[in-house]
Amino acid sequence: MRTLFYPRLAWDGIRKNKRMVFPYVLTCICMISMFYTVAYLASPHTTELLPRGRGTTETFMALGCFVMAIFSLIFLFYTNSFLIRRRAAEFGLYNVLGMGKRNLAKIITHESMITSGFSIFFGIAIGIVFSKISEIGLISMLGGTITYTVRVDLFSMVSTVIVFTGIFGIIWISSVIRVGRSTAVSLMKSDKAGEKPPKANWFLGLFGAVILGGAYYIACTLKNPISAIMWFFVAVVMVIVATYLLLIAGSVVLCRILQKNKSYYYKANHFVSVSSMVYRMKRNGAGLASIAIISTMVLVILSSTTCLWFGTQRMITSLYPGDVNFMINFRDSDQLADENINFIKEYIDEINREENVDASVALDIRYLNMFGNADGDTIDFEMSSMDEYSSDIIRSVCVVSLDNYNEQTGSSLSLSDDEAIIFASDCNFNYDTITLKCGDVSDSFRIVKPDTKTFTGADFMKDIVPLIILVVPDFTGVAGDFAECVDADDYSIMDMRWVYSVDIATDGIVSSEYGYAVTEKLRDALEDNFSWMYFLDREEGESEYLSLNGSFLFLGIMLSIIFALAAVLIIYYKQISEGYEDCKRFGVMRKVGMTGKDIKRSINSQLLVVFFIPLVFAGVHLIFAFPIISKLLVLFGLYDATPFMITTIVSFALFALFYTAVYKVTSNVYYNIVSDAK
Amino acid sequence: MSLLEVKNLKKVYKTRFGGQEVEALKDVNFTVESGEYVAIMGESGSGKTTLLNILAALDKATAGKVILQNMDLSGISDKAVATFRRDNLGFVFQEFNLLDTFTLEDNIYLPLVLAGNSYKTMKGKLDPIADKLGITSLLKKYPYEVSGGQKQRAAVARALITDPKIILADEPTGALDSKSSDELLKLFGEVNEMGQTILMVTHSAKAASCAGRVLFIKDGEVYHQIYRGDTTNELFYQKITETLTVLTRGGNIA
Repeated sequence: MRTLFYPRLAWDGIRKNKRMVFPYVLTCICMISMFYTVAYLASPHTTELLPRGRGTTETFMALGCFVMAIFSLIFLFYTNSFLIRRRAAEFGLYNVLGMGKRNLAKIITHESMITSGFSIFFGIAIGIVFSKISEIGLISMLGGTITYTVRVDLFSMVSTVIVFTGIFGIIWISSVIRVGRSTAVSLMKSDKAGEKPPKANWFLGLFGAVILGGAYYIACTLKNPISAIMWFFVAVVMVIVATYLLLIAGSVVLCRILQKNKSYYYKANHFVSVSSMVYRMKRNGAGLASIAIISTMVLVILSSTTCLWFGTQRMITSLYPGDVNFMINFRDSDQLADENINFIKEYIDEINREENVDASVALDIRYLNMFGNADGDTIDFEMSSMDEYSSDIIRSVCVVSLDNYNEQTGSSLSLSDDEAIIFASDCNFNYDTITLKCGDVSDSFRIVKPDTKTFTGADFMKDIVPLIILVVPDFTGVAGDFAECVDADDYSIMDMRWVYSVDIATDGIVSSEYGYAVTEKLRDALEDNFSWMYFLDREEGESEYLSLNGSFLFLGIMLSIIFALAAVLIIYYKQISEGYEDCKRFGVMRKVGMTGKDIKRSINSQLLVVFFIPLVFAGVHLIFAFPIISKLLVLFGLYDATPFMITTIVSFALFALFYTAVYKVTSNVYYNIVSDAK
Repeated sequence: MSLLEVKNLKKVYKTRFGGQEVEALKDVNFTVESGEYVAIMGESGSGKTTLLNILAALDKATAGKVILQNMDLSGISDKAVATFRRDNLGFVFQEFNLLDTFTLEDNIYLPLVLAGNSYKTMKGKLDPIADKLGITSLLKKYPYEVSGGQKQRAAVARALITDPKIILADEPTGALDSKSSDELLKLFGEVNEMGQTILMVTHSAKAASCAGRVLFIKDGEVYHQIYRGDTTNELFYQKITETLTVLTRGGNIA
């Protein structure tokens, strides 16, 4: 019997405080199931389903898990610290009745064991359901066969258990220390006393601002998202920490300012709400920070995945200008000369005639592609090491002949020998001249404004490295000048590429078979004069991109729903726990003459003060995340930032609506709780 | 014209499942004149608290009337009742009912803030009251930082600040030690001398002995009342205890 004493006491404590403990456990379950689902989606078993982008998705999801673990730690730690405060009176009573700190620690230990065991068990159970639903959705998106056997990913499960046991462990230790350090009297009083502002509040706020500034700086200056993917996640974690620090410190400052402003504070609709905000200023800040972070997550995921989905068609037309697209890389720049190209084209025409295929030219571009380091208006193609490819100043330079440009775009520009047109959409190149340099060789051009903003049809030239397209009159001259020097260098290469896209008008021709047949024949005909050659089939690419982006969209929506649920839960938790706390207070206020209308007005006033803060934070985070995410989207083949901007704005608007609705509904819950007070 | 008139007041509670009816107040009649200090005594279960709740418009009577300065309480709509309380009544509770979220100062301001007063007017009203109650130095403290007696004084200040027609006190000394009780009762006496009408429900003979008149309630009716007249507190106290003894024995009063 004796051995069961503490578990029973712990269980009683939980049962008696179920109104406090239940929302907390619910939050834990939600966090755990979220974590498990994301871990499951990150596991190779799931990513195997994706046709492409497997590695990137895996890395992202895995790092996402890490971010979520940090977020869960901060969020649950705070939630629990308020719970412990509420329970402190009970512990104080036990203390007075003769229980030592050791015994109290035992009760806390048993309680933690019960709540965390319960949370982990049900969290994983719900996570399994979520992950199965995601898997089914993903498979149906990719057109695979759906199985209804539930698979439990052992690795995800074990990591979930380990991570959350760790989190609950930290929470448990902090509770034991907290109770151990205080006297019986301070324990008994602690649920009555208002929150004290954190020590060195200004410092915390400042520290938060500095961290946030650092994170924003990283986000804005990262040039190459692949090499810097770790930095990206460092920035994410910094943003999370900074949001908490800033909002907690900020809400303390805000409360003080509001309270000091006597003509604002002593108004019927502000009086009660401001004072209760002061009473729990830290908790308020922590709650708002959690909401802000989750909102940011939802917005980032939703806007980027929907953008990928809506950009799919665009992506396809820019990557596949024609039904069949031949890409040939020559060994020698001479081979890009008109005679040679026309010869090959005629050869292809001949094949077309033989096979009875009616093909029209969609695109025909010849260009040189070199990588070099930018220094002012000079691009130096000499590379000292492979590492330079990941530096910030690396540029991809594509040189196109003026004739080829005029022919493709239908313009009729003319340039003198020392003039060039430049397209540099993803890097600022605001100079009057451009100098290409490699060793002793250098060519300078005066820049002439192009007649259009973008070089249509040249989208496939894009790379994750900033691109400069240079249209010059003497194409072979440039090629000849640099070929030797660039090839002599161990680390740099010059690609001499020809892109030839055709649309097929004849029915019954399978484009992939046609492409295959033509490349085979070309291989034979060109013998050893090319370094590589392949063709891209639009039909194939289309289905691949549709299913890939479709599955990203699905994953995005799934994750958004999970995160949005978490946000709902946090808001609900806030309203419920505050409702029960305020219940008695509103009872007193009614006796003193507060009307139901006054209560409603005071709730609305609080709503107006705190409601927009998380949205504002999420908005600002989003603005700073924008450059880095649009760079990441390039990895997935989306080169234009405009659709992303649109989906971001739309997602933000929709989320704001959703958030408003949730807040309204849950504030009714709050109202019902407090107005029941007698 | 009396300040407060209670006529044939009746309150019947139904048990939760509609079965039994419990008569908390049978037929209560009394009046309170302006400036009076009245104590209502009775055993627990005699209907004291029910009576006070009805007087405070926190509860509705089954039958009968409560008239405060020509105003019938039963005629006030639910909407206006909170405002009515705020404007006309001051409350002092056994458990103080101060809010943890407010400093003592803000607790005292609460009814005025709800009534829409400006900070300047409130401050003007508070200063003399706080001075009188000796809590000026405590105003910036929170309820959990001060003693029970100090809390109750703040609660009295909150009741006084609206300049109410009548103060309703529900066992105001119930949660206080004897020294704080004495101080509070002294305070009530002084406030009453300044012309404030007080109606106090208590089961403490000592508290009642400070009042000008004591009403005894038994079985839902005013059973007896005695006036202090010119007697001292001690003598009045004796009279009260004698009456209580008779009351509990159930005999007739001579």
